[in-house]
Amino acid sequence: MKFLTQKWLQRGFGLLMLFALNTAHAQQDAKVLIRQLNQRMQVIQDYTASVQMHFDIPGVKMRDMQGKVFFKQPGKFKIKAKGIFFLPKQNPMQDVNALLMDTASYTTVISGYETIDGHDCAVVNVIPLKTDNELILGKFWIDVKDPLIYKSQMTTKNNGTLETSSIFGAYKKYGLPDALLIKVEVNKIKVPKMMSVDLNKKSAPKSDKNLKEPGYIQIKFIGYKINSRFPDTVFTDDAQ
Amino acid sequence: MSSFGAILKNELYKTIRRPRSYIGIGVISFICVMLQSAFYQDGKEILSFVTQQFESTFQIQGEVLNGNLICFIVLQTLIVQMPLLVALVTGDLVSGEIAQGTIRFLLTRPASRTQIIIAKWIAGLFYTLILLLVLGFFALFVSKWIFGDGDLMALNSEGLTVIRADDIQWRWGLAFVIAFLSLGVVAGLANLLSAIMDNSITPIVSVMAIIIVFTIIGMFDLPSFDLVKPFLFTTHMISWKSLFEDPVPMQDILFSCGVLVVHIIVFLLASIWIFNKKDMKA
Amino acid sequence: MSKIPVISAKNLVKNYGNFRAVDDISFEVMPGSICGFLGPNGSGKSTTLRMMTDLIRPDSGEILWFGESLKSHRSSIMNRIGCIIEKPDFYTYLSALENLQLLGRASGCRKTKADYDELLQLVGLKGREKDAVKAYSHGMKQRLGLAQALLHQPEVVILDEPNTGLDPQGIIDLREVILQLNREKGITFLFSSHILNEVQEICTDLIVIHKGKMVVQGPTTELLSQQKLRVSIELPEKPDTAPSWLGNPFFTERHAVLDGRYLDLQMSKEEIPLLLENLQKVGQSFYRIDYRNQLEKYFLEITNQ
Repeated sequence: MKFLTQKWLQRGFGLLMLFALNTAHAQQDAKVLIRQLNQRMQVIQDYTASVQMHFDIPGVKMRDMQGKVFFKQPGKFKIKAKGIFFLPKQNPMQDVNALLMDTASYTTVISGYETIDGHDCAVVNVIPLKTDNELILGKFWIDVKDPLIYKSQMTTKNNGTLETSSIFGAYKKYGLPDALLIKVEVNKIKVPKMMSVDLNKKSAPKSDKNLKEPGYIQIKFIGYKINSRFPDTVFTDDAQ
Repeated sequence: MSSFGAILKNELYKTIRRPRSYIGIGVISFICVMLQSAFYQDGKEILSFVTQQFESTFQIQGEVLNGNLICFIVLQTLIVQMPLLVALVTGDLVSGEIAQGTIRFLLTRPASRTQIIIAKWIAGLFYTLILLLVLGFFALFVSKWIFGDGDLMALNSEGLTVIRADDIQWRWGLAFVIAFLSLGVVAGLANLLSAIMDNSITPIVSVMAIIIVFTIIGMFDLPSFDLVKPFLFTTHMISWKSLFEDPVPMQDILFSCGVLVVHIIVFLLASIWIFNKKDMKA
Repeated sequence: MSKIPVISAKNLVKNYGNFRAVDDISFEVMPGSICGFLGPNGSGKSTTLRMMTDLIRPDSGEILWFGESLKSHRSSIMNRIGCIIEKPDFYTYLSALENLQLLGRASGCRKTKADYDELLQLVGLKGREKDAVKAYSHGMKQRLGLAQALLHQPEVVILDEPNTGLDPQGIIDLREVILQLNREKGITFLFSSHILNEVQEICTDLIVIHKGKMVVQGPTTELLSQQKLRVSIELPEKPDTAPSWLGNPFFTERHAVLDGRYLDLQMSKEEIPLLLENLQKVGQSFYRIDYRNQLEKYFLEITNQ
């Protein structure tokens, strides 16, 4: 019995050590990937690009529109366009960058490996160290050969889950995507009949489903201008 | 021989000179200015009632509170009042003259009764047009002057539609044409009831009663009412709102316009027939 | 005479539900006449006048104006007639001149300011033409009503109770205007009134209806000559006692009554020479002999009131 107990303890310790070593290895790999990503990002002090936005949000009909994007380190980001458009409350371009740069505020772990559009990606979980952080969990699908985020998923306390997918092209070496697809969980819009005064519409059968539906915003980036050192006023100027 | 033009000129002259005609213009101007002031003061707060559904997920970029939105809201608000203001004048065109006795002078002139009722009908449409022009001036031009131009965030039963500013002028133009047809139906109905009745209040009240009943039927989201709705002119009166959908359901809008035009013609023909048959005992 | 009647009503019938307001009325009005249209309240007078002016359509019968059917020649007929039906109502928010201009346009006539001035002068409203009609008295509205009826120089004018609301001077003025227009311009008048003395004064012809039916039609003098006249003799002084000759059969048969200086008798017009002869015979002098047609009495008699 004593022997058995000792043997099991030895085996358990071995497994624990193996897990700890694996975890330490996964953490080490994740940190390497993040560091490589950050290094790539730090090359870019600022950039501007033309953007084409396409919206596919349940309950919202909006035509494509064009605008211009401005980015400046460490996390200033703005899209300027003439007219009304929707952006997710969490700005993926701004928030991801700011989050990953602040390496002391989180711990990382690789939770698995997946292939995204033919790229072998490590699924890196980013867990904030502080409990009062708005972010609960960040998941990043990072190409292990050429560290780029092909997919991300950020779950926050108040704003739900935001999912992004990136397609890289000519500006891949700067880590800048050609296109970004943002997926947001949207509450189905309810417009009171009295407010819409839409009498010619026939009554729809009532249903309780589809309370939350996925909405998509696709942003295409064209003609990046990197490190052109534009003034900070573009972020404060309200003109479209 | 008196020409139809002279009769029409008389009717237009009377419409312009009647104090009653200016009630509608005053009310529209007042409501527009009142809404504009309210939105100027508390517009963002008022809008948050609509946008708060999105604000947990999205940040809305761009100036939502602009002249186009104010015009849309004003038009939507006044859809209830405009028929009353139109009926106030058009419901009195014939019956008012019967009650006042002046109809005897008109009918003992060379112009035929058909000419007289058509002239009155045109005068009613002219007044309707004037009301709409006043509305258009205040709701669109003054609003744009105060709040600026921009994309329209239109609210309908299916959600939100954002119409780009450069794609909106033709929609306003057509919306006002449809509004004119809609109010033309009201004017035609008021003219018809005015030809039937001998006092000026009953036609106005009757027009409003009909519109209220039809509108209530249209508002109730009951499948059994869906059978009736296509036959109610009030259903088609708000088809202008469909112009602010994307894509624009042109077939539906044209159908609604057709229904409204048919109503206008039927009401006019009925007015002519009844007015020609009517004994002027008053 | 081959004169065509300006108005010819043939077998007019009008029912309001089960009530027959006008029952087979036929009459004619000749050009140049001033025709009185009489009847008690509810006799169908107003309905008939409204049918004449196309305000009410008869259930049966035919109306001819100038020999043409009102049904088929309405527009040209309306151009030749003027009327005040019931009471003159105007657009109260407009001035008198604006009202006339408006009705002038409706009649298709082009009038100059001088034309309007002349018309307003004729009806006694010159100087008040720019006042809003809402400030007008009923009498002023009657005058304006006459002005609008004459606006397009009609050949026939229908006046329904034109004296109502007029003061004595207004009645005299209206009478003079009617007589002047009839005399100078040959305008025919169809004239309804309850003031029978006035009718008797100016009407050359009479039409009387009662309970929707035609009672009598003809020249005023002819109709009234069939009636006993009311003859009044003004004596030089009031006799102390009734003269004995009052007992003569000539006077008793004619219901002679002495009232102060006046002696009243009833007789036909043809008997007046005989009266003079009898007065001379009894030696009674007199200042004046006056007689009046008894239209009022006649009217009450024929309408059984």
